[in-house]
Amino acid sequence: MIISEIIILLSALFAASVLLIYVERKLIAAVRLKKIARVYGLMQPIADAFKLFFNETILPRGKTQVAFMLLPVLFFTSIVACWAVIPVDEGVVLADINAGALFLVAMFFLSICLIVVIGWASDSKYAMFGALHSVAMMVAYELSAMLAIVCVLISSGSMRLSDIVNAQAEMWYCLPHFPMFVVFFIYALVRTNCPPFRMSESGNISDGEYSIEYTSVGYIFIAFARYVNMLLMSAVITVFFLGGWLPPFEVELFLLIPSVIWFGLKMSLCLLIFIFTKTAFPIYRYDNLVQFGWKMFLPFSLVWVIAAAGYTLVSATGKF
Amino acid sequence: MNNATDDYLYIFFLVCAVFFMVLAVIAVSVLTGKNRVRKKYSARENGFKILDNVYSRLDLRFYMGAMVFVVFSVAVIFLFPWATSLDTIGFFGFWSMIVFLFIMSIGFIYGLRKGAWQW
Repeated sequence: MIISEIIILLSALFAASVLLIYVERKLIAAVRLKKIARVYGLMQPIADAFKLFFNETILPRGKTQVAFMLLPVLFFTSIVACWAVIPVDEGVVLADINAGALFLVAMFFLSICLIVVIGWASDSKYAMFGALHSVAMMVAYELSAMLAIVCVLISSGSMRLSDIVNAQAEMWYCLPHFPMFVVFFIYALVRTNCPPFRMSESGNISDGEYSIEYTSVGYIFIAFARYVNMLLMSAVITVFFLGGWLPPFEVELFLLIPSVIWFGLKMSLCLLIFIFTKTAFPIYRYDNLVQFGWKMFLPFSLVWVIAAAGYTLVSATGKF
Repeated sequence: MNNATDDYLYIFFLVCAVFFMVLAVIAVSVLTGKNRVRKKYSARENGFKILDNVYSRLDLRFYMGAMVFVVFSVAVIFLFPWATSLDTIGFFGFWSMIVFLFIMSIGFIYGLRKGAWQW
């Protein structure tokens, strides 16, 4: 029973990321007026994976070989594990734990820590500095994203993700908490390495990616983890801010459509915005982005949390 | 399904995922033929000889950022249970957290003045 659920989840993630890679290439090509393969292009990611699979695995000569081999696995697992708590439909979730939001935050932290360790275990300066740069970037936006989640928790009063979705029946949280929605969306862009924040693999410093030392299978898992992460971030945005599986209005016509489809539609909307951001925006200077995260986003989201908590208390009790 | 079972389910899921990935990675790295050329095993340095290893000195600002992040993330984690139980703890809990956040923001302003994010 549970094993079949796990297999369904993993194969769905695999199929979704293959589709996502294809759609991303197709859209980027369309924006840049290039032509790429049609439906058979769907085979391209699979072919790439097969080709990488038969490459040679090169381990660094050092004391970090075991860590070097295990880290992509752990990194991939820390991202896939988040999917265990994401409710796709009413009751369609692997583990609807009562601290779902906290679990997600913990896993986000874990994957960030693992990036540092990947840089350390690679035993290469380029990997190390790439890891440090991308982690410093993620860390600058991580706290404001956590505060955005806190705003959602204040409104919903529960950390269980299905409760959070059900609490949005009257109004999706992207409307009352719109600035926090923007903050969390930008955090998602940072985590998925979309270009305004794509330090780790950008243009003239393209050597500075943390996965530079990885070949063959290790690289497959790191690259795969990136696309699973894109899917994950869009699902998290959907659950926290876009009302999960709920239709936008309680109209008969909308209720006819299965709620899983609504979830998928909202996820694809987020993914499309990610991909268009990837094509459309230039890369900004690194120090400006880090300072922006710390000096603008963090104070602003703190003020928003206090305001949201005060408003909720005053409207609940009716007194100051 | 009760909560305890659910917890075990996702832990089981985690372990399963780790296990299969480890198996795949190790099997491949063992099974593929090795063509041992010495150059191949050196770290990437854009074709230059390696002068220094990774574990040399780093820019101090990375440490500053990491320290500030650790302090603030611990503080922000406190907000999670506070946010979910806001209706039971009422105004007393609210003002307690405001005091806590005020102390936290003194640290933030100190870091700002010291130039922790000045690159």
